[in-house]
Amino acid sequence: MADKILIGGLIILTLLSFPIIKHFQHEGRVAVIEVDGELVGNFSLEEDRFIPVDGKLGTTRVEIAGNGVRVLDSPCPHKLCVKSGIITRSGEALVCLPNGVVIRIEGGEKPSVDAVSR
Amino acid sequence: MRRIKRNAFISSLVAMAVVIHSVEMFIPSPSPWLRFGFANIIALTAIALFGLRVALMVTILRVFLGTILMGTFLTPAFVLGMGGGIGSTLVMGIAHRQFKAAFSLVGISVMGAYTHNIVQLALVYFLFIRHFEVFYVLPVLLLFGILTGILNGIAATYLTAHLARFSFVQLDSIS
Repeated sequence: MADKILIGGLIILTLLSFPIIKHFQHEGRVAVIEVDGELVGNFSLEEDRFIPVDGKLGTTRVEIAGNGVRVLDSPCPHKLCVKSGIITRSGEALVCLPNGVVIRIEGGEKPSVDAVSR
Repeated sequence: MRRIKRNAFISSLVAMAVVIHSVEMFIPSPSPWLRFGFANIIALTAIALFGLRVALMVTILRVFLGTILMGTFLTPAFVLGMGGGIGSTLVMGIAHRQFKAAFSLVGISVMGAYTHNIVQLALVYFLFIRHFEVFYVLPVLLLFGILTGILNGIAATYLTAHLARFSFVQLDSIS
């Protein structure tokens, strides 16, 4: 009999934790920009803005728009960062290796895939 | 002679646990490191038949041998298996000693399964993936854990009932 109370209680506890976890999911969706490993700033994805990021080759122009972030322009030869397009989910990143610029997204919804190799 | 029979019997328990642990690896899972934990049937049976100390031995040996056999020795799966296994065996052992009157093996098994999942996820967070996102799967994992716990408990109940007739078994053991 006590078994059923225990199991019922644990099930209820677990079901209750669903909304609690969901609450954390939307907190602080932020783009973290680093140059050569050093933090330049954390920018909320909710606010549209242009961010010029200075690296060793020059200025990489970053734009936050529509809850995502992308690289508009960069002084690197191959412009892979620009070609990567827009990133929106936590764990995704844009990297400009020549200029030393790394843009990561933290907080927010769990992406549907754990990693993307390009 | 009795001692030898007892130890041989415990060794077969370990062997059974290793088999379950290894076969379990082939069941699909959201992550390569997180497994169901059916081997806990044996841990629970060992608790019921011999007590916590023997059960811990069985669990530790099971993780060592199982991971060596499957080639996952000292990988994250090993750490998680050890953590989850020892954690749940401890909880089940103590719960069995204290609350045997109130809970059947099913209830105790569910307690073990619950802690198994929580410990594993905590280990994943602190040792491997330090993103809070790791905990998003916790509710789903726990629900499945409760289900597995119930199944394990039923299995262990049958197993214990059939094995209890061996003379060297120490039911209601204190150690």
